[in-house]
Amino acid sequence: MNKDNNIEDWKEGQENEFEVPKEYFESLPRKLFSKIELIEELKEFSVLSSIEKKNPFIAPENYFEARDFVKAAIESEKKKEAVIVKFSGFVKRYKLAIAAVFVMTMGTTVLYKMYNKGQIEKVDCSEIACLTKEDITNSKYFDQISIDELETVANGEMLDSMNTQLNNELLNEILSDPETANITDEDLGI
Amino acid sequence: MKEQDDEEILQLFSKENSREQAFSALVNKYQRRLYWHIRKIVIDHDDTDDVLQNTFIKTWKGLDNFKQESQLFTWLYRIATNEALTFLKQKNKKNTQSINDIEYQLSKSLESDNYFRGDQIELKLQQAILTLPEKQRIVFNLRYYEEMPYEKMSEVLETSVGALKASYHHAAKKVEEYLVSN
Repeated sequence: MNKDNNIEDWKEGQENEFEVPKEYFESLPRKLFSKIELIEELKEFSVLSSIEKKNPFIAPENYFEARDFVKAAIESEKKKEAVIVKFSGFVKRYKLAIAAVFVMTMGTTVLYKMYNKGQIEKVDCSEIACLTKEDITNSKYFDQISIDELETVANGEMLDSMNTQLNNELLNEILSDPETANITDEDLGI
Repeated sequence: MKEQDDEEILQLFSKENSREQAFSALVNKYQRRLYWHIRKIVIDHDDTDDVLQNTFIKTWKGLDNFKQESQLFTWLYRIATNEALTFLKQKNKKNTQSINDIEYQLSKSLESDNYFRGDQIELKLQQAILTLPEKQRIVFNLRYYEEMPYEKMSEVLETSVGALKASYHHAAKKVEEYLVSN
């Protein structure tokens, strides 16, 4: 073997004056695998994978340097404290009026709830990760979705139909098997 | 300036005399990443600025109670995502518009946005992304642009890895179909 090509004799890249970030080499294989996975995922989408991936948005010039989020956060807490002090003074002064308003509000809420029972609020995309039942059952990742999540999208009717289907399949399997086809109810003690 | 470790930031924050210094380090470390994450959800810069400010206010108030069961990074992303979604819901209520109308408005506002420098293809891609349901849009952006691993995304969005993979696959399919037909 050519000595120049022997990796054991190749001293380049061993100890030198350069540094790499903490745990760089340990995390490199994982990062590479993740990159390959990303490319593989988009392989079947020819248009999407042909687009150069870059952020098309911009922020105003010096936005991050000029914007003081620390000050804003601290001031918001001070404001809140000031509001609490003012509010407690207000409560002390008008406690009877506040109690009356509270009782009226509670009463109105109870009445409102009684008359609006059964109305369901329309929520955008309440199913898991915005997938429809069809998306989930047809998905190649179906077996990786947790049972709890599946339960949230499966209604009673769907579960009953799955159950019946499974029972029928089991029954057909038993009847078609020559070893079990002749078993009578009596044999089973039914 | 060298970025501080999350652990170091949290330690500093736990001491009364270095709270501000720790919070400042946290803001410096994460403000850009959180800004772009929120921006891709709410689209408009001024709205993003509001949501980012609320995110940091919530962080300042909640950091004392942060249990370190998850990484600081995923906790911040979770706050930012929830704030952005709440913002869109409120905007929706104020304008008494349906979700589809809001997405249409966001899509239209892209065309006149001074802070959008994308070419025609990028504009089409953003419009395609805006046709996705909100949560699927977040999954798509986190994976496509930020290349976030599913395990991390699972912590941020509190959804299983399998569901996220399926969601991303369907989102990419819808985006591709939009790009082909438009």
